[in-house]
Amino acid sequence: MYKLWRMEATDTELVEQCLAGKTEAFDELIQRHQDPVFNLLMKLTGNWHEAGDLTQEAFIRAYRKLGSYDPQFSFKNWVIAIAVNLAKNRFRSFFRRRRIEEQTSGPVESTAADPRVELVDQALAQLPDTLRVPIVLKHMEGYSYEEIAQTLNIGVSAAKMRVARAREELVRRIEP
Amino acid sequence: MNTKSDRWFDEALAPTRVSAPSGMKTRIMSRLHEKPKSSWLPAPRQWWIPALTGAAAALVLVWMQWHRTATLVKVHFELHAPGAQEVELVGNFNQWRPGSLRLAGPDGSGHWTATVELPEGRYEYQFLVDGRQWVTDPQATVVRPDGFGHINAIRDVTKEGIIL
Repeated sequence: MYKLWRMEATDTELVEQCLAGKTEAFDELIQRHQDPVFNLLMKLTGNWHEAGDLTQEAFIRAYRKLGSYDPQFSFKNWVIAIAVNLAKNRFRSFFRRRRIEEQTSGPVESTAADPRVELVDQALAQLPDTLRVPIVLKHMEGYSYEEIAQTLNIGVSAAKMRVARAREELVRRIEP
Repeated sequence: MNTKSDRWFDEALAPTRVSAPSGMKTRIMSRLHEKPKSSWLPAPRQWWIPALTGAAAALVLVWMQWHRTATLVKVHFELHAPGAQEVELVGNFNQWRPGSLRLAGPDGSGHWTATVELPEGRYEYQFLVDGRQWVTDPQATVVRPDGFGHINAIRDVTKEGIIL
């Protein structure tokens, strides 16, 4: 009876439906979480196509590994962790290339219309990956320090330190 | 140390958020049942490429080895040693071991001779007279010290004949 009036299935329920063979339940999971995953990958790579490819890969990999998903953790955090690992492991050379390109051609231009948003976007893009990902997870995805630590496979104190350093760097670049 | 609050950072970063491109969900759903790609193994349909390349390389190697050993060249060795009791040919073709290649002789003019069939290659050798005296081939045009106080003669053998 309870389920008759509860319109939305939880992520865990959708995962169970997928595992039971209802592939269309995964469609809903993508709908719910594609934006944060893509946003994080855009912040990581600074490249629209690369972020798009990685987002697809992250969800496809998540689908294939659904059997190992632990429902005590958030599905969104799980997919984001997959995306971060994919980006780290499979595109290390890409990040190196990106840094070289930035050093030689300056920061990637933002498409934001508001100059202040553009300033923040560029300041964020100039942070090293090790600081950019924690601050995005903290202030754009609402992660706790424990969740950041778990996603990046670092200690909680390291997560706090990285967020603090990222904040300082960001403020220094926005308000010199 | 900055004094900005959590909320300040939340609000500063929020406008930089970007959304996934339209059609992302459809693309992912259409790829869900693709077979996983391997980064280093070729696709099953492409197995014939490395298999064929490997087989061709193996065939070439076998042919080269066969051709090399099948094309033996007769090489003539000669030393003028009228007073010698025994003359041996020792070189890298018999692992520098005396006792396997004895020259015939001496003939009436004191010459010792041997004809040996060798595959193509570069050979270094010396004559060993009476089991104790190392002699460099006086007809050799290319020589090099052997590092033990003697001089090795060198011959390049090809199917067209001996170059040196």
